[in-house]
Amino acid sequence: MNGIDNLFEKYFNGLSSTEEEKILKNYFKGANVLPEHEIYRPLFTVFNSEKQVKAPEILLPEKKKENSALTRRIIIFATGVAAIALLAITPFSIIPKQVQSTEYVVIVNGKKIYNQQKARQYAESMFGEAKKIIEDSYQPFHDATNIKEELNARKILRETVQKIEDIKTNQ
Amino acid sequence: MKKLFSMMLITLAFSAAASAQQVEKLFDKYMEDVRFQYIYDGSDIDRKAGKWINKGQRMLTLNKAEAGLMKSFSDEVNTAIKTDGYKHTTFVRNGTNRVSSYIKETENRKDELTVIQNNETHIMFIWESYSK
Repeated sequence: MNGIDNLFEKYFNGLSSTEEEKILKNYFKGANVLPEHEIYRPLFTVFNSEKQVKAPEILLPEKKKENSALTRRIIIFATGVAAIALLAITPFSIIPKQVQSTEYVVIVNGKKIYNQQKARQYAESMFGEAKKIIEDSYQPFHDATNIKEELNARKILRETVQKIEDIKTNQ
Repeated sequence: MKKLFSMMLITLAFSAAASAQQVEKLFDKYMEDVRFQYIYDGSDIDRKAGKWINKGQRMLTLNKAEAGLMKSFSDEVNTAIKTDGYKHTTFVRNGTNRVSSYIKETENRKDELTVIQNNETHIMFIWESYSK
């Protein structure tokens, strides 16, 4: 299992290739996962559910045969504006990524996950699991509160009186 | 007498300050331990939650460890919670899970703790902080 351990090491250092990550994913799909590796399972089951986002197809307008000088000028101007806007936006789109890098700190068995996306997914998976346990645990309490509200004698009497009043009014 | 009284007050203040961060010390102690998992989520940091501002949440998890370690870590968690003066708000036992919630609130700070414990498999210790 040294090979798998080495892959984990590379993975947590952010050095693993897509092929190596695939090997790890397949390892968790199998039945021979060692108990000491079970701790990493949420990380790889989360990634299994990842969906490949396909870029939408862009339909280009048909080329017009005659391009007037004015249209050409408009295109050149628009391209220039778009290029300036892109240059202006690019630094801002990079900066938040740097800020985000401190958003998640995940250390699994002494190994820090440096890849922020993976750290985020791991954090969300673990906090989600904890939230589910908490919600499930408190469910009987919520059920009891609902029953208590539904079986409130005063409420039942008030509703019954209201129904009688309605019948009387309708007669 | 006056001197003795002020000495006692100073000692009390010092001991209160020293013991005020036992939970934080516990997280610091185990966050890089190979037997634990540590997660800090600061994605909602500085986001308003009512009158409070979110200061992030942390989770320390001990998974499938030997019974002795489970017991000693559980004892350390309980001691830290008590020493820091948290108020035990709820306790639920559901199947094999036991969930305890604690809160400590001052004028400018609120800390919430949740301990999810299943003696056979895991202990999850969650700490959420808020400030004004």
